[in-house]
Amino acid sequence: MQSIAIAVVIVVAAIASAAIWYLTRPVEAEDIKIGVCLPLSPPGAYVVGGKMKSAFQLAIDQLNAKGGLLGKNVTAIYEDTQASPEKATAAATKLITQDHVAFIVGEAHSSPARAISEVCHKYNVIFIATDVWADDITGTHYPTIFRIAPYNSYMFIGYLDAFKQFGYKNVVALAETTDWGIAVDNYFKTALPAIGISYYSHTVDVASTDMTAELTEFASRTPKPDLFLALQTECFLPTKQAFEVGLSPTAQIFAMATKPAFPEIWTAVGNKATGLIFVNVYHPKAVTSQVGMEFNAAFKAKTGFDADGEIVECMDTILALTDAVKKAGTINTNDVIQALETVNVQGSRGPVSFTTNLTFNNAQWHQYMSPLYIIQYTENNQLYNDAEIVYPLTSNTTAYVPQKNFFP
Amino acid sequence: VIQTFDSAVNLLFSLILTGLVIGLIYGLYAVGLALIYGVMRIPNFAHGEFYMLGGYALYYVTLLLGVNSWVGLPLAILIGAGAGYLFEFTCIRPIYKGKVADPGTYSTLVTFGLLIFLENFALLVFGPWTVAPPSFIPFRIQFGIGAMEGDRVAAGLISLGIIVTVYLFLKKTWVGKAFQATSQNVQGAQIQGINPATISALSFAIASGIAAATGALLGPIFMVYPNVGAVPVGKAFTINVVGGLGSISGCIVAGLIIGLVETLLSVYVNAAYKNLYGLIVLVVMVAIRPYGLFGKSEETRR
Repeated sequence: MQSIAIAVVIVVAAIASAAIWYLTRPVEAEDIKIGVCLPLSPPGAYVVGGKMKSAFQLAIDQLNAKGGLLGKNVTAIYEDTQASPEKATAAATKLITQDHVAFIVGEAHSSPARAISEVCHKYNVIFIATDVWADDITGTHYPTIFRIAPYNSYMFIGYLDAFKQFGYKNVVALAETTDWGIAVDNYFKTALPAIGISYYSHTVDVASTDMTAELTEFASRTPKPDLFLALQTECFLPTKQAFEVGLSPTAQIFAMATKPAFPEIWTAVGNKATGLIFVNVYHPKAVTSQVGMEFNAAFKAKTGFDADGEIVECMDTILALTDAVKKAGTINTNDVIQALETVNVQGSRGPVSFTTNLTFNNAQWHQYMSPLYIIQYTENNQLYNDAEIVYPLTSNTTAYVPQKNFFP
Repeated sequence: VIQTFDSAVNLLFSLILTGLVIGLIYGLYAVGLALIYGVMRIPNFAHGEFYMLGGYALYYVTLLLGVNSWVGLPLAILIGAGAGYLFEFTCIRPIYKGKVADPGTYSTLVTFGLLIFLENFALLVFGPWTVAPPSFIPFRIQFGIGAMEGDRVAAGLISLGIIVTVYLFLKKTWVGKAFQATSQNVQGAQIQGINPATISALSFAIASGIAAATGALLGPIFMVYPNVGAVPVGKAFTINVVGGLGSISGCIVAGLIIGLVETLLSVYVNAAYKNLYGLIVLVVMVAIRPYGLFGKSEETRR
């Protein structure tokens, strides 16, 4: 018995020693450290977060393979924010005060990104928000905050034009109770009636799994809705349930999120995704950038997945940041801010630069004017890369077809 | 977009139908939890993870064996029951061997630990992707002026069948009576020749099998992903408190009440507070009748 106890103590001591060594091991003293905040576990969008982590690591590995930054190796330190502002605040504070990162990048949820921007403003650390859309992230006009993703007010203009082009008259929506969902819902409540389109919506808890009651009500309305907006990051369930209550395909489903780009959509919702339209900031059919094509090929080789919007945003984040640091010749915050304000580097979708002219709800501050596409699945089990761009009309690859036409 | 009187009546009928079916499903969420708490006085915080395992079991059984969901369902239940038995054998059994000083704290911690372990296990093994097992009934069924997705009808009816079976098992069979005896007094049950460790194992296996059945039945409706058990376990605890801790009848009635309240108020008041409505029912119940609709106060129990 005593020998078992001794053995247990030795094993525990060995594991504890290994853990202590791992946690306190010296990171290369000369490394430039970049903090990366992402949702890596529930309730955050951990599928997106996981893919973004792979993309950031690939971009940093490629950078190091080319000699790093200012002659130094670059190291990423990842923190899981779980879509929580409290956890994001703690993560950003830890990255700055304990890990002494030079910059912070990342995020896929607006609320934690907003929290990170406050911490970065307080400590004068640059934060490049990668895949978050809420206006007020850059609307605060903090000098250290930049954004690669598009922002809501800018996207709204495109949506309104698309709705007019596609001829919708009666729109219903389910909006998730987040900064983003409520902001979009509030905007449409006034903007759509102003252009002669009726709008009716429900807000639903972000963790809601059963929306059949609300969708049943939508389906019972007269005249029948011709567009159902799923203003939800997790848009598979509302897509499926809209069909189940008979709302769609009469009402075209527009998932105002990028998640439908994931191939899992077909195993999750089946052929109900045929004819679905959704947004994205990237589509291979619109890319002419050699840099983007090479990165996407490397990402596919590394992960087995095709690149989508979030992935190329990670790449553009690192490209812009490293170009600015090279220009500044230092990692000093104020010098890098100046360099970022004038950066012009070839990114995945074309030149990346940040503009500030305070248009569209005063939010256009340190903002990359990202392209924005409305994509449509035109066949069952179609891969994202084969889906069609239906908006903007200047770069569409096919004409928009109402979803009901796919279900004769 | 407006509503006519006829469409408003049709809507109300459809919502009541939807509320009743979701209420039965909620009842099934809660029955497994009630069984374990009723018999063993253990709040199983990992109940939702057995629900998740049931959903994945149905998905992979149908995918790998090429069988339909009706054949896959009993296999999913067996897998869930087996996992529950394994958990009981490795983590709960020490309570009955006198190896645990504070069983209440121990069981709370160990079931919480299992919750975290299983959720991360699923993330690692199955991946973060959302999957949906094949439908049980892949078409809508018309009920008078309302219609409902076949999978919901199947889930509602099978839920009712499982709940009634569990109720009859507890009331009419010798083993069920042994469950009740253990629930009332462990030492007294032992004197009568009942082995509490066996009852513990059986209750965990049956409750986990029920949770897996729920996950499998609802997989085609709500899909399956690693943290899919989070919502059901919250509902299950609410329903158990409203219905009376450990009461099977309470699970049915409380499930129906909460299902209807949530469905109707989310359309006619505000959908954003759907989860709050169940909690309001819970608060009202605790204020009026702290031991729930069908529960008994500790004094009455004694």
